[in-house]
Amino acid sequence: MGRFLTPSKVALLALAQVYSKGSIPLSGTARVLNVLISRILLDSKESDELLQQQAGDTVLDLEQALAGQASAIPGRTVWDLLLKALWAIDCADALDWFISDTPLLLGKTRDELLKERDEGLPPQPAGKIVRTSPLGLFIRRCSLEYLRLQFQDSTALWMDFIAYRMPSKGAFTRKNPHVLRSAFDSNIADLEIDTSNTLTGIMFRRMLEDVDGQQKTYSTYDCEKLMEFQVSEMQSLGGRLPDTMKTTLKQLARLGTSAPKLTHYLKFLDSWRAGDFTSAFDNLHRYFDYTMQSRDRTFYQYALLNLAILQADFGCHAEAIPAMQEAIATARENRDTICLNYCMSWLYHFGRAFPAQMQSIRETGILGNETEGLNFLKSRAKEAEMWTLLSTSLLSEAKINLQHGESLAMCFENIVKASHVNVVKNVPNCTGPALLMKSTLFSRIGQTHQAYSCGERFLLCHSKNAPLEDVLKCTIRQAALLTQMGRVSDAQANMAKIPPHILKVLKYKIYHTTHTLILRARHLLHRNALDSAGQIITQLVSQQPHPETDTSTQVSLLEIDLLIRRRELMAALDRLNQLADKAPLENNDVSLKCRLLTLKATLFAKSDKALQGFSLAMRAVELAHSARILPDLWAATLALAHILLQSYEFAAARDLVAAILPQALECLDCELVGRCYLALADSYVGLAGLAVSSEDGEGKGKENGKDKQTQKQLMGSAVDVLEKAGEQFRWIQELEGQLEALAKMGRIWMWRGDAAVANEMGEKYMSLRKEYAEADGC
Amino acid sequence: MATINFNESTTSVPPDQGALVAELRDRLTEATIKCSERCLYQSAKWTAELLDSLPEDGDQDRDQDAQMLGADPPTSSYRMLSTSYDDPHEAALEAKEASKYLLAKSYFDTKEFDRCAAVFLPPVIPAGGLAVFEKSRARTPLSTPSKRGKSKASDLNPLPKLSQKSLFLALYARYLAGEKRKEEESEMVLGPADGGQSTNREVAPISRQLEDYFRIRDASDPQLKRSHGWLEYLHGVVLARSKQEDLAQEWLLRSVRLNPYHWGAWEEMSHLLSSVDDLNGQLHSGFLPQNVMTLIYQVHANVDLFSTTDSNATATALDSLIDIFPFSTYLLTQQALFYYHSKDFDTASSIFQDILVDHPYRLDGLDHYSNILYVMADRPKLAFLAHLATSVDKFRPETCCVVGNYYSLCSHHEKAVMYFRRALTLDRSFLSAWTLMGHEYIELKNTHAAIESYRRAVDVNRKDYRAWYGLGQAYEVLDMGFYALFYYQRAAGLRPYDAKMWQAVGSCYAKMNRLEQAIKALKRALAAGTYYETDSPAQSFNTSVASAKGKSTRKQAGRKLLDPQTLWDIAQLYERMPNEAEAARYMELCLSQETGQTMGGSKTHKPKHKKQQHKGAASFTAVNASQRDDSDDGDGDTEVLSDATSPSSNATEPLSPAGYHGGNQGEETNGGFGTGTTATTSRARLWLARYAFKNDDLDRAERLAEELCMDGFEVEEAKGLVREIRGRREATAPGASTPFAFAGDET
Repeated sequence: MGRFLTPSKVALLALAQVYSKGSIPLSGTARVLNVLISRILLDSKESDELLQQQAGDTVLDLEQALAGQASAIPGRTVWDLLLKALWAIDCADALDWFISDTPLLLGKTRDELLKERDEGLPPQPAGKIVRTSPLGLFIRRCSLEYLRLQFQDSTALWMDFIAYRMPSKGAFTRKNPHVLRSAFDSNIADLEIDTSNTLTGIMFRRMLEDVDGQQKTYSTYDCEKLMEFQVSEMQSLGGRLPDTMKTTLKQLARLGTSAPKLTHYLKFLDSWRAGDFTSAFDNLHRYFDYTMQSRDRTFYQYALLNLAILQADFGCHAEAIPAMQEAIATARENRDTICLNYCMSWLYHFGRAFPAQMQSIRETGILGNETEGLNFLKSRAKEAEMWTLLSTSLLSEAKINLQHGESLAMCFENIVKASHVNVVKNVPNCTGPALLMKSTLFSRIGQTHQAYSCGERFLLCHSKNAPLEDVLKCTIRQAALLTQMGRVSDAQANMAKIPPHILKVLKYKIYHTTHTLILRARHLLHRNALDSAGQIITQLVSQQPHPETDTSTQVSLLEIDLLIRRRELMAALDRLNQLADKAPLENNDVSLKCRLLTLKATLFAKSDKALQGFSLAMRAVELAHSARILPDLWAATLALAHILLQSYEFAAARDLVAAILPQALECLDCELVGRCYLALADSYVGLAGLAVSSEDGEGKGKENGKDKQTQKQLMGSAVDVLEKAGEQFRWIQELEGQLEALAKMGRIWMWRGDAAVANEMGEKYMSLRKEYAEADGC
Repeated sequence: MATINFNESTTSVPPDQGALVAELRDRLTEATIKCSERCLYQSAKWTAELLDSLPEDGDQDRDQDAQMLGADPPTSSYRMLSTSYDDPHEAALEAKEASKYLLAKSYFDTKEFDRCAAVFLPPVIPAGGLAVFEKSRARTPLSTPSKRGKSKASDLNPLPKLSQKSLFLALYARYLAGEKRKEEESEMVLGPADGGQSTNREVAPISRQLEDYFRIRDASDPQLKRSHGWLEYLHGVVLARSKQEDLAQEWLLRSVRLNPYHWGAWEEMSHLLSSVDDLNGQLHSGFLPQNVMTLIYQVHANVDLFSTTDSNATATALDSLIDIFPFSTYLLTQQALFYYHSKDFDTASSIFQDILVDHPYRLDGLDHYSNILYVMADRPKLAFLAHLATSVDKFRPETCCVVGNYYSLCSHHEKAVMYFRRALTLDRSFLSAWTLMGHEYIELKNTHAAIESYRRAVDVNRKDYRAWYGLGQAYEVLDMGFYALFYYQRAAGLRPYDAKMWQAVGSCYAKMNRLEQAIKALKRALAAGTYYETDSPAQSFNTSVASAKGKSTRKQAGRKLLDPQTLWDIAQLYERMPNEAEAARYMELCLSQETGQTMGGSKTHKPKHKKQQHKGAASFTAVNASQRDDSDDGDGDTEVLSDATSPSSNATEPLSPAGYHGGNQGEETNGGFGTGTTATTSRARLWLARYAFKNDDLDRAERLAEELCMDGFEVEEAKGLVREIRGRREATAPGASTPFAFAGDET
């Protein structure tokens, strides 16, 4: 494998020659230049495929690119001219001449011009390509690299070149019959021997060996470019090696040439993502062992950084933290700001994810407390002009604000700041996360449709540049929102739609599976398929602790829900208390606190000890209100309403529920709305009951008719409301809720004395139950 | 004499070609086996190749003859040949040592030379070990130095009683171990330790031991019945390494007489030859055995010495040898080299090309082929050859030389040096690499390195005229005329018929203001130039700067030519003597080269070093010094003068030396009738015009000057001259008619 020169580069040189000879009409110049430049400037990362294709460009690719482009010579296309130039190189020496002569295409240097002027020499003819243009640089680099080749390398180039242009032989001989003497080397034709001779066997042994092959030839330079690109992709997006790249790597290995050291790093990243800890560890060490000496910069801090991340990813927190601390120390020693900032940022995020592990860090006080740490990171990022870091720090700040229940304005401000940085400093891979953050924020203030549209925007427009993890999280969020809205099948479709390359990463695969299971368990709970749900939940619980505390919490909540539905209220309470004890350590989120309080209040309500839950519910309401977490606020209020219902304060309950209903509807949370409607119906029925009981107690005939009227009206409203509740529950396929609504409606019809309708309700009840049981039971 | 010898040897050929072939086959088989038994790999290879090149037919029938020579009918020829069947004593010894011998040979094969030697020879350290060393140091003043020690050592440390084969192997291994150590000591090529002064320390003790051995054995066996020639060969080699060349030659002669089919001995002997005369003396002496090997030796030595005196004899000898060995690549290579030395590059290269196609894996001698291609400036072929050689084995000195030559032809001199160095790292005694590297260093203006390289080349082989010439050139660059002259003379001595050498000698003399000798040398160059009937200088020496570019046609001239540049140089020298009349004669001669009568004149390409232009600036004092070359010069002198005295006698034909402004142009304009106007002839014309003007031959001067104006060379000068002539004419015309009425030839 050559350092830089490959046959395809020689072909590009030939094209440059054709171009500079002026045999391309003005109209075609742009196209030809485009072909040239897109193959010369590998740095412009268009996409993965383009780069790979360029590294091993075949002559036919060039034909495709140039086909039909007419040249200034009538009847000849540019492709014909190029072919002629390529086939004019008929022996190794001709190749030498060709490449050594390419600098003649270049214009003169300033020194040469000055010298010419000063000495009054007649102007020497020179090429037209400017020396410092990309094409000029390419030509200069090619000729310099050729000069540096050892002889056997230049013969290797020559043989590769023969193999490279071979596919175009037919095209050339069609246009130029009788010109070609030998497809290999004109010297062979001179010797009057054919290609079966031993001599050619010796000389072209190399070509005979990979005769099978559309084997592309790579230069070390191309390989390095390709791998650097891959590494940066993998690092910024967090994905795995694409299959095409894997085959390329395999090819390289088969060629037996010395692949760049970066291969080990690629393998490290790949096996890390694949969850193969030992291989990752091995390859990481191998990479740094090989590169430690070969570069002038010391890379020890990077080695440590990688090591720490790797260990943390595989759950060795106890080892990851000291490694990271050493990385920080080394980076400080070497004044490597960039690495230092990365380390700090990682440490911060690690601390957020696993506060329990951070005891020692907090004691040493590297980062101070959370806000201090963030401010530090922000200022460092600004200093070092690491815009990605700045953007993510701002988003993290917004997240903290949210979790602490601080001012919404601050949150928005931080998000806007991050978006500003993204736009002004062109940080495309942070745009998605900003949207994701925004979506979270909107869903917290009950603007579910906004939240949903933010998520959609992210997935539609920015998913390409965003880290895979964020794409995955966003998809899952969207699915959860859809479920909440009652579009269960859409949610499932969404989950199934996740691109397979994301799921190739083991960590994401697990995450995805867990969340699919959570969604499924929730769905099953709704459908009252408690046994199946129980099974799934047991599975989920057995996998504790999940790498994300958020997931663990969700699983615990599911567990509690299951217990409640099984009427094991004591156990549910225990579990709830456990969770409440653990929560502040792991997840310091106001929202969670709020939900736990509400849940506990609901639990008391369910066990007919509603009043015990009153203060809890009040606290939840207060908390949610102060933090402006509207969905939680409505849920807490509903819990309060339940308590009021139980304490026969029907009017207050009705007022309360009626007050929150419009806002709850805005949240697009079917379950919440359904429960609200149920509560409302209860309050109506309660009010109706109060009306009747007052009549019983005092026996005022006048009012009797009026009361009856009111009672009937209330009962009618209750039926209406119950129907609405049934509808909401139907959407999310909440069996219990539907049954409850139906049962209550049946009661009311019974009370009204319309046995037929009541009967109908009863039948509906039974059939619905049967239907669900059949759907799930089998 | 060479032909006589050839006849003698061929007399043994005719009776029965088949019988001869059969005998040769047997002899060569035996030699091959014995050589490989003694680990003389190269000789074994050579002999085996020769054996293989014998024609195939009648193999079985001839066995009868072989049996007649041999004592007992062989069941397996190997067994028969490997044991010394005619010497039961040796055979017994060998049988006794068989196991030890096998051990030693396997050590040798794994390149553990010291260990191999130790199998048979007692350790070199005296019995007392280091204690002896200490003791002797303690009483240094008392002990008589080396002489006593030596005799004592030889008394105390006689060679053990061994078969000759084992003894040879052991001593040879010891010798090679010494060579290896020597090479290790000299470290990097041209590095600080590589001055060529490190010696093989084993040579002296081996030589002493062998001396003792032979003294004892010769006494017991005066007829040399029991000698097989191997130890003699080794003795010869060792002596040659310690620069006792006459003695070495004696021993080698003895070796080839005893064992004529051992090529190594012949080759070693040819290295010791310093001139053709030596060779002829050797051939006359009658010491050489009369067989086909002598003939091969003769051819080899002749080719090696670039001898062209009896080229016909060599050619016929080669032809007849090739008749016997029709497929011998060695002989074909020699033939190609022969053509190369006689400047027939096309034939030489076609022979090499055939060898290449038939034996693509064979790298031996390809460096010569690359030299030929270099001289022919055939870049594509050279690239192809380099490619092939690299594909076969990129770490062979030959390959490196080929690649180096290619890069040199491409003017990548740094890379060329790198490859030559690599060649030398692989094999320090690789002669052509030293010389070629010298050339490259000259190109890189690194004169000191060039001198060192050339010197090493000369140390390896004193017959390499190119190295001598290069040395001269390097010293000329350094302005050290005496040194340069010495080396040029050596080169000219080796190649007396090469004009380039004589030109160099001449220019050197001119630089040292020894004008007469310079003129003689240049005349000799003229004569030499006509001898080859072609422009040899550009080709004989493949580093000429100007010749690296443009391919000049190399058609042989049908007639003898005179080189106008040399003529011009001679004229210049005469002018400075001052001997204007002679100068004018030579100028006329130079001029006449362009106006010959014959059509389709040959085109030649004459690159010159620029320094030759400037050297004339020296002032002149005639220095008479008797030189070795004087008598030779005499020959050349008369020869040339006979030509020169009749400048108008149409002895010459149009000649257009492509001047300094690029050969191709000159060739193209030169297609038709004698229009070979070049810078040199134009300068001659200008000079003549001035000369005529000075002698008041105004008409002639004017005519010449006008010709100059027409030709477009030296136009400014010519115009000035014309004006001056007209001025003079106007000044004199009114008064009287022109004083000299020489205008006759013009009217």
